[in-house]
Amino acid sequence: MTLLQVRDLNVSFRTGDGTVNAVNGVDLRVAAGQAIAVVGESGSGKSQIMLAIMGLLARNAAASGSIMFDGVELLGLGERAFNRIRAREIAMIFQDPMTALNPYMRISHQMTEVLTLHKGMSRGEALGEAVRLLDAMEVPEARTRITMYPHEFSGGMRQRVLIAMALLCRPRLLIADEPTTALDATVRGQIMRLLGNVRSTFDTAVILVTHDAGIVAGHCDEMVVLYGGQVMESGPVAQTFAAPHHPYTRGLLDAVPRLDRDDERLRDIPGDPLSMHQLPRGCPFAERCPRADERCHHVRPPGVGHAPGRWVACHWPLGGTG
Amino acid sequence: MNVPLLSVRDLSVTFRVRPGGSPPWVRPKELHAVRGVGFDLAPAETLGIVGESGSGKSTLARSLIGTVPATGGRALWQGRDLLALDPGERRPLRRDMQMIFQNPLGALDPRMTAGEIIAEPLVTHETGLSRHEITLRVKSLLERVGLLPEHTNRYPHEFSGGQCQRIGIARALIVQPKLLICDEPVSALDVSVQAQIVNLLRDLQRDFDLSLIFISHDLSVVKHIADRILVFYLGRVMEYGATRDLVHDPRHPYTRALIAATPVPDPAVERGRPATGLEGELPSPLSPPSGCVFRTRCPLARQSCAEAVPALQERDDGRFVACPFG
Repeated sequence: MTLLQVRDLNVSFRTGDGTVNAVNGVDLRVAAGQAIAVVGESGSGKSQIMLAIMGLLARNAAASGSIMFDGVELLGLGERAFNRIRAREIAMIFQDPMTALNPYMRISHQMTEVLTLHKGMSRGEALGEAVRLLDAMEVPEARTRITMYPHEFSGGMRQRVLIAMALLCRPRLLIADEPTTALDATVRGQIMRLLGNVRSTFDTAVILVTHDAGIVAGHCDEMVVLYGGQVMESGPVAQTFAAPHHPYTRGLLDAVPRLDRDDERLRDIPGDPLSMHQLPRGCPFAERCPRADERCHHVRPPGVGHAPGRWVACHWPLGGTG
Repeated sequence: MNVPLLSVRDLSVTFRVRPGGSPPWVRPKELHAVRGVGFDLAPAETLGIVGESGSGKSTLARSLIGTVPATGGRALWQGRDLLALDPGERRPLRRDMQMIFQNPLGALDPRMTAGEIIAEPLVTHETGLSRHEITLRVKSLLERVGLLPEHTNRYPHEFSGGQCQRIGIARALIVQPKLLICDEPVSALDVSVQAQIVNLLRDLQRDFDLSLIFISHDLSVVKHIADRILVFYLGRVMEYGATRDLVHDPRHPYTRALIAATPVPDPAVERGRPATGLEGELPSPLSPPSGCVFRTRCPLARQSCAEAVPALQERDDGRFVACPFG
């Protein structure tokens, strides 16, 4: 069952330096209980797509297209209607677990507030539920620690608190925007394992926004690769890793340093990421692409379905019909 | 190994800090950021230093360069102890040791052009050069780090993160140092650009016979550039050895955990791997565990680990491991 369907989403910002086109015609589909990865480098528009889904775009942003969540159009939805969906149906966790919590409020207060507001629970009921979720996120001595302030928690513990808080209303979709980027390697594994548990025990669909191919490989079913605010390729994780169709996906996967391989030189992608101020007419990746020709610079490649479930926007896709 | 360029022995850095929130009359506590670290760095060799946040790896680099005072030990630079020198004696040696930083834009003065930034160390260390000579050297280095001549007159904000790091590298190399210390030089960069910078550093190292100290939290990046790796945890060396040995046959349980925690970007491999994550988190450096600092998270820990700090012992293959059970 389709839970979230994004169609032809465009997000642009009016700034003093002109219009910035952050998201340009993005399609995205998430089924109930599914884990999809949205992969992209800085400036790929991945965070703006998520903010558009949450209705949290900045004031100077203009969005068009369609974001359907369980039959409801979210784009253009009023603030009050959105407040009934946020936290209750869709929740989000962020990269920096420190700034996402209010430093002046005890964790207990921040967590119970969500439940008294959205679910109409009493303080006592809410506190019990909050402790239950902290326990589920393996926060040690949850009953005592819930009375503490955010600064008394380590980075990894704060991210656990945030996941627990996001799950308080049992949302059907959890958006995790780079949830482990600010954490140490040995803690990152713990958080990813917990996010995996979330999916199986709470039956929550997860959109994992990340730049880390290693995490995608281990934790997601489907992946969407973004560049310059456009989808370059999407498909099942296993097939896409095994044989990417888009030269950008290939380049991105090849550039990752690997412990299990002994090639000395890393395979980089020449050039620099795109500036959002001057979006090219053609393929956004053309300037850095080893396969690009004249057409790529002038004509934006249409998205084409490949094998079942796979989709690529490239004039010269790898290993396939062009 | 030939005569080392830098020979560090029993280096320690201690800070005096007052725990957060405590009143001013409370006695400051001692925080041992770096404790008893030793290594040799040969000319044209790359030493990788790996550790999580708070492990003391940046403090170690800063104590070598002299921006943080070391509180014990020796750091012999071609036979002279850096830590015993006064600032005046140290100054001419600074030129031989340059550094690049994690935040490439933050490390550049926003009001100077790329050309001025790169030329600045020359003005300090090689007085008497003509303007023409300076321009020539800046131009040739710009090109060498992969920038264009027309970039000379641009300001830092006009460059991408990767380009800013290239400027930082050019600024460090213009005085022809013998050692380049790189403190997390690629962790703020995108994967595709990260690979460019790592490759550039490797090429420069070879071309200029540079010694590198490459600090990173990411073992898979360090593996691609370092000849030898030093694994750091809570201010102490856990394991130190040739890159290949350390990555393919780690001995210290912490090195093993670090490798297990590094995901492999291949679904076929990654899903088949057992979940062998470490539990718990880095203890506070203000009150480190007694004995072995890693014992609170170690799967091999036993009673004796709490009693004495395990010595860093040399093994048959020339590596050093601070664990009698690993």
